[in-house]
Amino acid sequence: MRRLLPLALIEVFVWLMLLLGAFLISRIVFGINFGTSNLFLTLINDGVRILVSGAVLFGWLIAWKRMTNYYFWRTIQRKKSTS
Amino acid sequence: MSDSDFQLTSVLLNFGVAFLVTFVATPLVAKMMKRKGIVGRDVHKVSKTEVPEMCGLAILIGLLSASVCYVLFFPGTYIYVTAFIGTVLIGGVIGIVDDLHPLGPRTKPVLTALACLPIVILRTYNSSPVIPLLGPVRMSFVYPFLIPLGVAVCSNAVNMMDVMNGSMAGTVGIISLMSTVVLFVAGKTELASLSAGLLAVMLAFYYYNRFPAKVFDGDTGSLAVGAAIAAIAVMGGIEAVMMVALIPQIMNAFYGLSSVGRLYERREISNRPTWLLQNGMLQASGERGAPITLARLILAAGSLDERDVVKGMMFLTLISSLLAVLTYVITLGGRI
Repeated sequence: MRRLLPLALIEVFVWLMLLLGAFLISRIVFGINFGTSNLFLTLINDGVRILVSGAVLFGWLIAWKRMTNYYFWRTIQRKKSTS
Repeated sequence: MSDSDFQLTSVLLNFGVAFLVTFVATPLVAKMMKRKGIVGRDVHKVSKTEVPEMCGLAILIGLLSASVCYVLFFPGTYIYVTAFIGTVLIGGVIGIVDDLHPLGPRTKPVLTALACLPIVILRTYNSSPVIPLLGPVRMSFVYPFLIPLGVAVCSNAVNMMDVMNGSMAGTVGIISLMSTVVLFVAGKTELASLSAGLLAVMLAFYYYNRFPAKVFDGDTGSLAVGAAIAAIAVMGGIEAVMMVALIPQIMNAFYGLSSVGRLYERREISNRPTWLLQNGMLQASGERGAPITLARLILAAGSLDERDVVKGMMFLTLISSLLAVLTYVITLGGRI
């Protein structure tokens, strides 16, 4: 079951990134404030918050995918070269 | 009877009824399916054995019986139980339709999203989900629109993990054990009881579905179970905790979708992610076009027996469930 260690580490990485994402959203996204004195400003405020949160989520998914692809293809190549 | 005795009794009641009914119903449903010719080939066996399909009906029967029994003993919980069982039944009916007349890769997620209707209509949700490090976030207007998305993602992610003998029942069993403990500790007894019912159903079904499988649950079982997990997460206010527990399922679905580049059905993929060798072992496909699934990732380091691949999936689910408990502790501040 030693082969599961890298996958378990990917899980832990994904989890930590999830927490980091939540932290970034709490510090940066909730810090965005263009004012809420009228409906237009409220919409701009919420729209920018959603965009920045989406960007954090997208970055999380990309990092996750790259890490997995790297692990998978490197393992396959290594196995091919040893067999 | 003290309050804690009462709470424990309700959890044990649901667990006991769900286990007994599913354990008895599964072979009966399997016999019926075999008689009707509803069987599937076990593609991960050299002999390609025929196994009764759609035995997930027993999962529905188990969850329904336990819920009815629970409401009879604890009538005050009927709103939660109705929303839960309604969601599970809609998920199950979509699964039955999909098993009998395969749905398209876009139709299935859209239909499974509808399973959330009982939760939305009965308003058995809290529109301020607790996010780790953020605490409760008020989402009064957005939250009801996120519920269908959550149910669809959860149902289909569980469904996509149902690829080997015991893989769905085993992994969901671990997740439901985690959610039962978390909800019980959080003092949400009704939801802990529903979760204990799901755990019992998974244990009973796993007995028949483990390697070498005597029954297949089909989409009837996996979509209903996915909907059940989503319902427990939403009604129990443990969305983030459940999302962490579901990391292996989400990994499996996300890798598959991102490597193929679109929504797909297993049956339409010509480049299989794993190959069956002559000696009965499984090997990861080395083809670029094949979806990168969790099974293929586990097999990347070398061929394995089907049992070991499933054990690997269960191990990864155990890790994610422990991380989920940790998430609950971090999130906590006692606010869930």
